[in-house]
Amino acid sequence: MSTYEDDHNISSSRPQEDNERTRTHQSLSSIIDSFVTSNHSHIESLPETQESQIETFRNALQVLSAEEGSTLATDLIGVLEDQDFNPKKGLPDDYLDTLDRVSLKDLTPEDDCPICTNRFVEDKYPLIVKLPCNAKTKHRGHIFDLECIGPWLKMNATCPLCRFDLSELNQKRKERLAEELRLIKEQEEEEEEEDWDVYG
Amino acid sequence: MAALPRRIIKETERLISDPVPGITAYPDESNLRAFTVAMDGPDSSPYEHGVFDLELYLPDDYPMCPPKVRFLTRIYHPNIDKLGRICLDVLKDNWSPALQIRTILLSIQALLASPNPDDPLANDVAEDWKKDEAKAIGVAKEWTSKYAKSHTASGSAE
Repeated sequence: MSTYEDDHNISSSRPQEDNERTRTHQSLSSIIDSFVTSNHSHIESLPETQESQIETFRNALQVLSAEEGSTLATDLIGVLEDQDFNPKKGLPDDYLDTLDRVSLKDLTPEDDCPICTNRFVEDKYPLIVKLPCNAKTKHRGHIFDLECIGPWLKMNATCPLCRFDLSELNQKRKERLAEELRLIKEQEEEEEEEDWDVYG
Repeated sequence: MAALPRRIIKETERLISDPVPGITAYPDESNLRAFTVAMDGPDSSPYEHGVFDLELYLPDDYPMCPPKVRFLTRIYHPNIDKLGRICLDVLKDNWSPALQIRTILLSIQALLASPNPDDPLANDVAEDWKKDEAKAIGVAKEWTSKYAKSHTASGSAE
């Protein structure tokens, strides 16, 4: 007696299909696992790897949402898009302290802050800073209220007017600072040794 | 509701007293962060003679975050999907707090004048656009006359 499969000239393909299904699911879940774990441990050290993993994760979700109509997957895609997952885009809080101050004397009455659009002279106690973006203005840098540029630089490392990337400069500044500190420390140690010579 | 930041008040006043040519934007009476926008299709584009309605919303973080903008009028464009969502860099990653409502609306108008099918949001439209541009432009024109009727024209026709 022939089986249903023989009659229709098909081999029992169902188990294979199941295998494939499980395999896709395994790879999907491993992708999701690796995304979740890496998201915890490598946020700061490997932004590029993380970005590509988010991409893989997004693709996995798209497969889930397209092939199985998973509304959860669709929702998660929405979350990914909304959050824009950029964990390390801004500058550290102490960066603001390093910015050059600008005095009202150096500004014209028409100069205004590009963010709040208020003229600097209208502010009774203005705190005005200049970004080191080397813009070809008379101040060689774009000028903002400290209060306005602060929240922006916490989330972004660019000048709002010319998109100059401030993070590289900040990195160099930090390295210089570390170098200076090292030199001072060396000097102090030398002095200490000299002290020993005198009093020891 | 929290007080409206001075910047938003100033922007709104200027949008009304000195409007961008071809664009009107008015805040809703019930929510001054929500704007109703009417945009003329740019000349010598498939959207010419059409008037497109958009909604624009200023989130609480504005201007640290971009406004949310969406087409309400149906439009056949590779960078605008059927929900009216717009694929435009300055509305996402390339937002800057030095940009304003008027500059964003101008960017959207410029996007109508120069569709970019290589960075699509509406995949099917972008495919059509790349396969047969002349035909796609024809469809865009058709949709414009079908959905984006100018208010004055439809008003007088009624």
